[in-house]
Amino acid sequence: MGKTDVWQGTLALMILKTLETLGPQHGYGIARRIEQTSGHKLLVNYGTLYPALLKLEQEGYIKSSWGISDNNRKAKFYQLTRAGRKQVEREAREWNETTAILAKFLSPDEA
Amino acid sequence: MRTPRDDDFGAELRSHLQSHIDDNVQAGMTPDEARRQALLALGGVAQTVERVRDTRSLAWLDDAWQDVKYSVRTLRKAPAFAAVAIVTLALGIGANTAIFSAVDAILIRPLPYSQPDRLVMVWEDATAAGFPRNTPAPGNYTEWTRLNRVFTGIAATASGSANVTGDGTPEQLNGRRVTSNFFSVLGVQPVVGRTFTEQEDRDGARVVVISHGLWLRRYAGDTSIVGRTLQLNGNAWQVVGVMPRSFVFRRNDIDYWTPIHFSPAQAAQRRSHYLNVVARLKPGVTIAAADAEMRRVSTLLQQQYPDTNVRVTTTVVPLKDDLLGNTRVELLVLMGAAAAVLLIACANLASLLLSRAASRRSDLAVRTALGATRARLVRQALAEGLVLSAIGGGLGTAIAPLAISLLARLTPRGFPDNALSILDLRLLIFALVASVVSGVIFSILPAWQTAWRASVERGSRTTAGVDARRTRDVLVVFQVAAALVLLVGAGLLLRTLGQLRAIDLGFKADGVLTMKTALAPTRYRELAQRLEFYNRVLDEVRRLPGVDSAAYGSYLPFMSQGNTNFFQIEGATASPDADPDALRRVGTTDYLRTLGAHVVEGRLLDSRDVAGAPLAVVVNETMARRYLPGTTAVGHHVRFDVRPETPVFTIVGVVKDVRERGYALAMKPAVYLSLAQLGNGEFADSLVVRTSRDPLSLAAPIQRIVAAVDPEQPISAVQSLDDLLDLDIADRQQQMALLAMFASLALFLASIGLYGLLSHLVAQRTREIGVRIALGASRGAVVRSVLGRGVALTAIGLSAGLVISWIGARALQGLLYGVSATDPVTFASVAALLSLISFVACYGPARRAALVDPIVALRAE
Repeated sequence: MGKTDVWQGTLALMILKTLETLGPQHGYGIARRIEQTSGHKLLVNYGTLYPALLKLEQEGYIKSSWGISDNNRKAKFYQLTRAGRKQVEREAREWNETTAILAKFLSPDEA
Repeated sequence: MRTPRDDDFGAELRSHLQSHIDDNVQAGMTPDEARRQALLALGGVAQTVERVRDTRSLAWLDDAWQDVKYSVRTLRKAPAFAAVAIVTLALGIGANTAIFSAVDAILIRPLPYSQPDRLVMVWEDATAAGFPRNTPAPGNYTEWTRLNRVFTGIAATASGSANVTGDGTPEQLNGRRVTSNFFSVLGVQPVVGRTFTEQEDRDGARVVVISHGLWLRRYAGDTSIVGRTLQLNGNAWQVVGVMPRSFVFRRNDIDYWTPIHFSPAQAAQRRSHYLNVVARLKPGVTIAAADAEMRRVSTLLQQQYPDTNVRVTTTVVPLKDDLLGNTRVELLVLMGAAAAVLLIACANLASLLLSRAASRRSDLAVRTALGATRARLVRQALAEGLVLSAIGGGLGTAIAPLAISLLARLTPRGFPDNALSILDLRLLIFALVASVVSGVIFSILPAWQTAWRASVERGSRTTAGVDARRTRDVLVVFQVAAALVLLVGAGLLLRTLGQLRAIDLGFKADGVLTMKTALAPTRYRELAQRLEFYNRVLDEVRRLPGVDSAAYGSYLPFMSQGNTNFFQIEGATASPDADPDALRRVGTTDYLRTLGAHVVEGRLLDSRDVAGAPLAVVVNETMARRYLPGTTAVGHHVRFDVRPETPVFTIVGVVKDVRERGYALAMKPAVYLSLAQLGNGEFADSLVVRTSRDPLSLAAPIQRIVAAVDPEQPISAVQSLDDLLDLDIADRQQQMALLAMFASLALFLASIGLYGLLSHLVAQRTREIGVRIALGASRGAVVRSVLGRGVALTAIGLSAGLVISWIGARALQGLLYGVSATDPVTFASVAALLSLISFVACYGPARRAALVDPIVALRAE
């Protein structure tokens, strides 16, 4: 089975959750983390990652600044804003509700 | 255009890449391999940059500017294409803007009165007598004022005219006599001074309100005019006010207003019908309710005054509808036609862009490979369209004022005559919207197909072309259909004009000069004085070289649809009407001869019919046939009043019907009388001169004659009788001319579309045709295959167009005369014309296909 591309709508939530868990992180680090967390089942397309980051920044959920990475390189770090923290909570709750509903539909004995 | 933000993002990507390479090296790859893998994972850097820029909010401005620059560059490389596109668009947008200016001024803008939609005209409905909207009699107006419960105010106006003297060259002015509430019912205020009081109307005070036009023209806009006196018909009238420039009511050539001042006898008379009545609805009252109420009132009046009102009811018409008449339909038809022309032009451009897109395939492939996204390509194509339409639209707006002047004759007389001449903000906005919309329309299809092709191109070489070709087929079919619809419209109006012109007028209109010398009743009190003036002028005019005959008459043909009189024929065998009336025309004895009327029976009036001789009358055929069927009319006695002491006239002749009321209105009985045999109240101020020369060449010498007879006598309305007749159908002529112009343009554009499509087809298939010829196909077969395609497309478009016309032509019905909206002759000839033109358009490409040299064609690839 090949690797799955990250679904469009969920990438933003994954980015936010990653930043909540790890604190400030650069784009490459975020992608790596998402791939690791999924057990390498997901493949982050960088062509969608950076537009998604920019969009989140425009929406005010994250902010960015230049800093120095672990291996001593200059990198752009993203971190959650206060609005971003609320957004993670809200999106996570909605996502759980949605999956719970879907799960009910899909479980055979409820049919 | 690079921005600091791009640099920032570039740095971020480099840092990303470096982190990835570091990881890969740590995982044990060689530095080169690590770099290669990292680059692969990052994907096309350029593509990512593009996407990030697309997301960024202001990047589109940079892109737009880039797109515009790129478009201008590509268009410069194809100057012929650009020129055709721009000229077509300029014509289309210019025409639409011009027509819109008329639609805006006449249909959209409110009339220059307060709450204009609450104003109505109230007419007598005398349909039985041939006057569905008859001018009310003062007695009826008086009763309506007293009895109605639906109007807050109801005002009356009557015609008037006066010669102004003593402050410059004598001039004949057009005026209206109005009730004192006229201005308040309309809700208009003078710009200087005041209007009349009720007291002034009752007393018959000599006070006058003048128009803005007269004020500027004759008194240089001097505000001290208020309080001064004007010499009108030799009497002193005090100017009390000046109306604003925007104020017109039903006619745009009115110079002044005076109190109508009904005498008690006038206010009660119900036989002479000459008023215009305008009223303002009470709040909440609908048109239908007002109409019902006024019909109730007229039923009361029928019972109360059976001798005069038995055939009279009333009709209430919204003022705007009344003013517009046919104009609404005429303008909407023209607007539709102009829009259709623009759409056909857009279809041509879409088609051209499609074929250009096909030839720019490699360019697009390169751009895609370099990382241009599909959205970007679509935007690029749209930008090219918008650049074209912006230039075309700008040019079109510049030429619109020229076209606007052509529309002047379509403006109803109740609108200021400069209503259309303003190129204002609304018009500019319209032109802008029209440009943008057409730009999007003609480039969206090619843009979409470009993008679609760019994404499939890499796979196959040929399939993409099929879809584009089908799209172009549809566009050509649409063009043919739309052109046919416009041609049908123009054809129907052309036939209508032909039918109108073919009507037997009953007189000879060519070679006749007409003018008016309105004698002031105050200076020419007695009929004898007037006759002396008329005869002195006529004697001199007859002596001019080239003059065949000359006469004075009261109302020339086409000048008045009414001015009728009650009549009674002694011993009439038939009496179809309870209250018969006839058009009454009075003239000097030569009048009918000068008009060129045809005698059917008896004789015309002549030098025998003078004062003291037996009273003579000539009647028209309609009157003789309807009231004296089967007998000779000559010798019968006619009187024009029921009272026995009134004079009795003897019919001396019958003339073929003279079309007194214009081309299209139904004929009525008519009587012709000799001025010299009538009473003191008669005038015959219209001079008619028949000549073998150019009628207008006589205008100057005749004006000198009039000035010699009476230096204070003004002259007005100098025109040939032909021109007077043309006024009756001027709007239809103008409408026809414009529609014909649009239809020719549409036909031209559609044939270009067809030609372009087939040329492109032949060019694309040169190789295939070469192969077929090499394999033994005859050149005839090749020609037939290309022609066949053109003919098939034309046939489909033609059928669609015929169906649409068949349904849509009914909208024109009100403008037609003597032709049905589905006139088979028009439909057939238009279809034939279009087939012929499209065959010509197809023939060129077909011939080129036949001349394909198989050897050259096969080598070409």
